[in-house]
Amino acid sequence: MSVHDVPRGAAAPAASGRRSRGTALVRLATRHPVGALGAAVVATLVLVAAFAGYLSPVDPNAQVGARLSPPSVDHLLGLDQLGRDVLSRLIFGARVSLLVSATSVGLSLLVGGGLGLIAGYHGGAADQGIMRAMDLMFTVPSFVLAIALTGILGPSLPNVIVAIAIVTTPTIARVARAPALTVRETEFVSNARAAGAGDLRILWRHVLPNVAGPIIVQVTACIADAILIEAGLSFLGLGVQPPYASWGNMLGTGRSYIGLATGLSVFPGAAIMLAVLGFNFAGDGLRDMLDPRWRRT
Amino acid sequence: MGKRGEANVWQPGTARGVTRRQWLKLAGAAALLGAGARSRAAWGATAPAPKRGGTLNWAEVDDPISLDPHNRINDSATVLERMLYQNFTRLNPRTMAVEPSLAMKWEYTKSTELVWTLRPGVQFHNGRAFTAEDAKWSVDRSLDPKTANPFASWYAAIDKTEVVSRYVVRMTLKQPDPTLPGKFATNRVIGFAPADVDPKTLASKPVGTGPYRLAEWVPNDHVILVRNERYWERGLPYIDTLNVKFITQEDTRIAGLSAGAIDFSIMSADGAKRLAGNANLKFVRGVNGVFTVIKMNKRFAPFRDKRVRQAMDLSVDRQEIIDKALGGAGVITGPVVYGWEDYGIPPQQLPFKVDLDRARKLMAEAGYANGFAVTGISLPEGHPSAFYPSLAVAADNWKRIGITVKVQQLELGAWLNKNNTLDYDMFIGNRGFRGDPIDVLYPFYHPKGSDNPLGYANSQVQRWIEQAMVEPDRIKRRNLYLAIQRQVLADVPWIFLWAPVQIDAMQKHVMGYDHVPFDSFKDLMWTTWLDK
Amino acid sequence: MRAFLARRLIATVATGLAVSVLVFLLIRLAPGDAVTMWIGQEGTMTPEVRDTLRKMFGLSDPVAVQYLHWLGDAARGDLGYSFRSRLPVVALLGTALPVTLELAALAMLLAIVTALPLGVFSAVKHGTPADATARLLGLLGFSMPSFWLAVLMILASATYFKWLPALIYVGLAKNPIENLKQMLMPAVSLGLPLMAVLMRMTRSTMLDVLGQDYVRTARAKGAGESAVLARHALKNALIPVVTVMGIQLGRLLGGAVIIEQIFGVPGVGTALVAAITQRDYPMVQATVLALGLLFIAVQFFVDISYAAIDPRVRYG
Repeated sequence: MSVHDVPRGAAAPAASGRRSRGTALVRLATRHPVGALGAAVVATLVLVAAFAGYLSPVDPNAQVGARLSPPSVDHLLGLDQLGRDVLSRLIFGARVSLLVSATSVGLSLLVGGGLGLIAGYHGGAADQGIMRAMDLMFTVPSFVLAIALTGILGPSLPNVIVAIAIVTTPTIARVARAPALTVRETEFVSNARAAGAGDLRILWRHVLPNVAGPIIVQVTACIADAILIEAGLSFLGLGVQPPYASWGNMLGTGRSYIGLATGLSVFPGAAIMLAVLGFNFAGDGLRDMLDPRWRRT
Repeated sequence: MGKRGEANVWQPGTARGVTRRQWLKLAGAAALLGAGARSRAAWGATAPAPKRGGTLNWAEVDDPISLDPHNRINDSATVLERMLYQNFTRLNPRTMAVEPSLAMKWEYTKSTELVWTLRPGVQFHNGRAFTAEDAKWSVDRSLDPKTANPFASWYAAIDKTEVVSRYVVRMTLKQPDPTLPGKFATNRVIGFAPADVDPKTLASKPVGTGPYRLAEWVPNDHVILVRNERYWERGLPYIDTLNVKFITQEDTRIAGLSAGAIDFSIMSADGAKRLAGNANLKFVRGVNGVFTVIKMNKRFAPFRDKRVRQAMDLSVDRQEIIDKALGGAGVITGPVVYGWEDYGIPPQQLPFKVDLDRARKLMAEAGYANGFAVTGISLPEGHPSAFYPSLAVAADNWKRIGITVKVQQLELGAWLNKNNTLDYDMFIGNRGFRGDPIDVLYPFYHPKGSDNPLGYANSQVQRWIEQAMVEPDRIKRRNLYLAIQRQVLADVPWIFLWAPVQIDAMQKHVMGYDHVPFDSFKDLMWTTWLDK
Repeated sequence: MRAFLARRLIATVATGLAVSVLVFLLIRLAPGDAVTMWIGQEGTMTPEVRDTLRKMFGLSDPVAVQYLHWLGDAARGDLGYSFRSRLPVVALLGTALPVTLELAALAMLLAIVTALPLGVFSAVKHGTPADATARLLGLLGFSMPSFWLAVLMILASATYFKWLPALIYVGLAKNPIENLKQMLMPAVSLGLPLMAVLMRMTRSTMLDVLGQDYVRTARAKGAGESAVLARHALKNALIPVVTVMGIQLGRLLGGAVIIEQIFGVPGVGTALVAAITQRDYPMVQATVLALGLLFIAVQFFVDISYAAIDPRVRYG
């Protein structure tokens, strides 16, 4: 981003906003097939999570047969170490994993994104204060937080969500701050300021569009990351509590059966990878769609 | 236990108390049908002559944290401390009977006076001779409240310890306690160290009389033990160096065994199955004296009704729990695990059975025909304790009589906190092997016991416990222990689930090792040798 | 510049203090204390012994008093003794910290030397199958939980190659070759997700920069492609990359906790998990503080490097 650069938000043709959504989708699918694929994966996962109760063949916690049974017609992905249906657990696991990652990242986007923009745009004491606070949040390891939160909140889903949100917030803040820092030095922003535009308006109209690309990439990465952090917490025995296991949970216990019932780790592992890839691809697509250069061509 | 004068020192190849051992073996084998071979080298006279020397790469699970022999704070320290330290007595690693160690004999000169005669000619790792002064100092330090020995309460009867002569120690007791020699034998708590060392250094620089001495310790990574050339049992141990590496993850230990980097490691049943195809490995199995139980709190009204507890007991399928939670590596157990001398009830005599009709009838009689819902506290699902799957299977069983158990998984500290403050309705945990069966029976089933959340009180049981505590005759005492256990089983204050079968995986060239009941001790490591 | 440094130094000390207060409180909020863990579930410890222990550890004082005691000692360089092993915390950290630093540095090095070229390559070949392949590889690395990758790696190495490095950890100074053998698998599994993030970031910012007017101008002026990439594009693309690297160090240290356990590496991760599980407060406080200061120091260098890369950034 050089001083010669024309801020992209301002350069985007006004007409583009009036295009119908349907056209945009078709355009996305044809121009950015990977992004469309990612979006499709995310949409599918959301649907699976929403309708888990209808889709899952049996109760995910019921012990329905012999432990470590291989995949069969009755149980397409086999049974786990307690004789629970792996497919049903994966389907309900989608709900838990998506809920945890989306909520925690949503939280950190609101807090971290906002603070990062303010820090970068205002600079000075606000910047110092906010960024040192972010360092502070980043410094305490997530599993220390998770254990401590268990003490305060009792063992519950919000624990895990808050612990992950606290870890991802500074990431988003830092990513939002760096471009904001550069943008505020541009002639364009100083011109806008000289023309009497308020801070909020400048932030919204001129800064935000310029930092949206990196933030969106970071948010999709963070959602993916949140799924992985949750898996790590599960590995340490601090993950999501029942009634339903998360994918991370299943992977954490399933890895003890590699060689005996390898599917127990491969299926949740594949689900995690699929979701992570889906979010990242969708992020790429979004990033390009928001990029005026891409829209122009 | 009384007087056992003669030095019946165990040697490689001796096989005492084979009936119980055979049962323990059979239990292990039956529980793990067709899964791997088992070393027979430690048994009988057919064993080949041991070779000396070599290095054993041994994977343990956790760092010992502290090797202070007077305030053992960590289970993981026990195995290594038993390589380094000894005291008056020890348990015969095959029969679990109490036998002489650094004391050659002992005698109750009256019911409140115990006189120990020590073994002459024993040297510490630093070359200094072991005498009565060291024994007295070690006992005194272990029982000093400032040392904060968590097990000091086992020795509450000791009033004072005095040196009579260079090799004679006299203990004066506040009240009769015929079980003291056995409590020293378990050696979870008191090891003898030289009276002239700085006690602060013992935690990291242990000095004892054991068959191995510490050469190096990098916390959270490894300990290197080397053969004690001054060891008083001539000819032992066989292996020169024990490299003990701490690896928490079983996957990593499995990898190490497959690659040949690890010679010896503890293994779960499923881990052993993963390694079963490896022709270079063999497995030794045996029962551990730790029993897993579901505890019930009187604060939850339905549990106060004996009929409810009986109904729960009658609807738990213990074999299903052992199969699912442990991959088969467990045995059913009563209040004292069978195999500890002759104190436990043999499994075939345990009264457990599944009888759903009777269970439902009892629930109806108690006024809970429609069942109830309760929360059970457990460690997390992946924890090696297997508490979560055990409780999950039991919960699945109890659905059949209308009881819904919501299982709450807590992190270790939170779980312990619930246990120690009795803040739960239902709880799954385990209780370890202790100095004497009385230390298992009193705290749990005496109305004044410290670990009795149900407030279990049976006046007959209480009388028997109090009698047993002062009964000098071992056989009479054992009969009281058995009577207590039978009554406890009938009253169902706890749901007894299982005792684990420990599996040790090792390379084929590791010879002479055998399982020591009851607390995953590795005493037979002293007579283990390497055939390569 | 001097004023900036002074302000940052003050801010760093303030952050360090805040970290110490936060950790001090957080670890005490976790249920149970060192004595709880010491008691275990067997309940054989008498109440008198529990009191003795709590007094000995200073746990019976109010938290504020405990903190001031600790702070006073820490200011003199005395971080206290581990509640559990009774060994000095400074000594325990002194053996564990270099191990983790080496692991993190190796992981980062591996990530940088693979991610930067791949990212640039991918951006230059934007839209080609080569770009797609590189991105897919990167994403696979990113999407795989690192502990799963670690477990698969160690099992595969043992099963198919019958090879594992020496069991007992060897220091870098003692035997560099053996040490690097031991660190290879942990560093790869730890560095792979970082590599993927860096590669994505490099590619994304390179694409931005390559589309800029001044790059087009440079090209139009006839500058060679590699000169354009090196002099104009890469330099400008580095800001977000450096930012992400700074942030990822924190993630790296977090990931090390699990990776160290799997490979049996005696670093701070292993020590920290043990200390937290056992509620060994002095150990937890010292470890988190050390990691925190390290992280803050890295952030400081990241901020300085912005200016080095992009002169338009003023010290705020």
